Amino acid sequence: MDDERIVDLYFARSEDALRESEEKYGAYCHSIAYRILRSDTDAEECVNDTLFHAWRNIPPAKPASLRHYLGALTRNLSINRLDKRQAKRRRPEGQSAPAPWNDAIVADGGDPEEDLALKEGINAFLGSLGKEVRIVFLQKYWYCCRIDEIAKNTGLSVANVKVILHRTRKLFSDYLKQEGYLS
Amino acid sequence: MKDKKIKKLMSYANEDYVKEAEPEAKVKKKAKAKPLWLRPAALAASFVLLFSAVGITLFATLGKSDYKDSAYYPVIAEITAYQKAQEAKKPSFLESLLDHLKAGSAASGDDSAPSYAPGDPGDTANGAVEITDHQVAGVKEANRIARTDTHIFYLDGSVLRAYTIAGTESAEVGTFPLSRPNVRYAKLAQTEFFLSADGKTVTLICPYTGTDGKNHVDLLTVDVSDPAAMCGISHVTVSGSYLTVRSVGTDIFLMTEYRPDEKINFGKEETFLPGITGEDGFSPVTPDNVLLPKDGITSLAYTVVTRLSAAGGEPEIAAFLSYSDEIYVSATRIYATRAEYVTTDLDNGGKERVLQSEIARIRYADGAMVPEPSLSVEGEIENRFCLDEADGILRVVTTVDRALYASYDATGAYGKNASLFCFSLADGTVVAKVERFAQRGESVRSARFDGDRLYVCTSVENTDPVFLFDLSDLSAITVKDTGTIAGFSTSLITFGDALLGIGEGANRGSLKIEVYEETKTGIRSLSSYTTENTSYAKEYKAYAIDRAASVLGLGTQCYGETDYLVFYFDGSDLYLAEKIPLEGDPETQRGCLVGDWFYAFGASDFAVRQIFGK
Repeated sequence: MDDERIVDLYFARSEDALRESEEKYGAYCHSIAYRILRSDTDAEECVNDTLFHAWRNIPPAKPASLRHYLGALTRNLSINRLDKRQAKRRRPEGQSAPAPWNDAIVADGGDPEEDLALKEGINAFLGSLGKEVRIVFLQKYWYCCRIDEIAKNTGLSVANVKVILHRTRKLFSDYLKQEGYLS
Repeated sequence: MKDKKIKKLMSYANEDYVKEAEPEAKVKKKAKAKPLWLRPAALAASFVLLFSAVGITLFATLGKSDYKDSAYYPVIAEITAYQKAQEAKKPSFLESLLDHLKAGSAASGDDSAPSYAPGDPGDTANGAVEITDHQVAGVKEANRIARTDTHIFYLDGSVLRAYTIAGTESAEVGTFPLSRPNVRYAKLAQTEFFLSADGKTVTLICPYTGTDGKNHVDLLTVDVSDPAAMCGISHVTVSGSYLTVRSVGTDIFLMTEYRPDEKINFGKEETFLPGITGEDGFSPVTPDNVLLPKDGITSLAYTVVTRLSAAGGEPEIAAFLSYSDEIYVSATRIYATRAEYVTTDLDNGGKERVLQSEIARIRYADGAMVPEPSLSVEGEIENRFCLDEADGILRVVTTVDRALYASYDATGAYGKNASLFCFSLADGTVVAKVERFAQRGESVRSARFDGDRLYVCTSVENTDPVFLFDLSDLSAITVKDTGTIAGFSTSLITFGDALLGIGEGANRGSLKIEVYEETKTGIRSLSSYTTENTSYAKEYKAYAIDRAASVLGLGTQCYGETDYLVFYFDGSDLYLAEKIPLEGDPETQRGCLVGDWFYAFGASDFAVRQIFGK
């Protein structure tokens, strides 16, 4: 069933929307969640939560791409769950507690309400990267893959992946400062 | 730039780029277990957990009926029923299992004489000066900072540091690295400590994952009578994932989570019960000390309370057969809450999904730990500040959430909202309630009980009202509010006659600190401080709260730069007194005011600033 038809089912408040979503994108969402949570059970939970939130948010949300919408929702729920699992107090080095940007996606059912210019700037940066570098960067920071997984996915060595990530992080930071997004 | 920040920014990546980067080697779901008649090898196995789509079990296993004479039969029956339900359960899109499985096992003793002295009496000259803002008087919470009249102790990652209190002449004088043979303390964000009343002993709470792959908690006792020469005295290990800890008098209550073995053998209690392993072997929790959930268990995990006494003797344990979302410790009881969605079919063919919480309680005030009947409340409890016990009444603020499917909500009683419930602790009945007092769609973000007053901040998106309830007469509860204010508070702090809210402003990712006062008809904002693109410490113990001096401190981060902010409130206005650059995670930074000077501590970093008398 195509995405438009599935979204129509959400609008019609038909539970078939959930079954169709799960059938079409359940595995995709599970893979996203599993990469972040490394637990089959938690990943299953996240997929269930994704569908529940999709049910609540559509309508009024009407995603142009249901795949991207559910994938992003799963990603954010998984990251939230990972943070919560780490007893709420554990944070990556140097970072404070996460701002509720994940909640925004869950609540709105759509893109986070943020500066459009920032979004355009980030995508302009991604567009300026070579394809291979961009794929490595997004596999690390969108899909939350481990470095060895990225190396396996891309055919690069682990050392090469690390260097690419290190350099691209620096480029990204410099880019944001240059464009005024970072002081 | 930190990974977390980059992950956040990458959420704006275009769909095309995300799709282009999709890993080809997708992580596949584990295949559902084939029916057992297709797996001859399985027939030879002992009792294991299976998830069969067909739901048929061909094992010749020992069923629960074989343990009918066991004193733990109610526990065995619950576990067995849960396992069978898992086998038969089909994935349901509309049910959330909320399985917070964490590793854990039993408490174990140690060959050293335990010596935890958070409340040791004795010579209190240069004893501990209380600087942590404990939720309940007399129930002390561990923290990463403590002080005496002459020294400040700060837990910097895996090192306990001691500093003199001498204004600009202050200096680090001693360190105690957290270490034990064959143990790596990596859960540093959870590590904290108590300082004894006489200021001479520190009890460190150190969670870690052992070489056995299981989680444990070490209690390390350190002699800090000479801060320049701190030395370890002894340790005790309690197995389980660390949840929280309290000190009451000379006792420590350690809350952990324990999970039964994957392969349970009901004939061996250590495979499915928490307990104590000592010189005489394994002693399981007694049957009377195991609380069972009212409506059946939803995961195989226990919340375990271990009571350790400075006077020595065997630890005492009590357990609740469930994970816990939040734990609140009053002067008399330990409460553990657990939320789940319950879906029921309606007569009109629709389904209703309601968020419910169960509140388990263990009374400890009379010497022994005694489980009491659980309470059920509609909604979810945001954090421990949403519960308060006073005069035999448990007051609870919840975010309620009801959803209706395939049916039209004509009543308006659905959606999210906030409610207040008051339970009699004598019989568990609801003696008062105010249901759905906020606007539809709002959730509880923070709450603060202050005697007979209750402040609640709710929000939807980035606006909030703050409500003030007068609970002095439960038969006639009154409420005032601020009306809609931009932003919301994640912590509420009573500050003399004012209320201080720490949270976010109108723009996402901003920090707002707002001061409120009560008027005759409502609550109004007196003063506020807002800074954009700033994240801040959400852990309540990270806040330096000095009500006597009207000073507040907290760690913040803006575009990767961390600063510790110190505020002064003069009764009507809130001023930023100092902005102190400080290394480390704002969640683990700490500070305190001593006299005219503010001392701030971070990762391998500390600073001293004069606040008054300049």
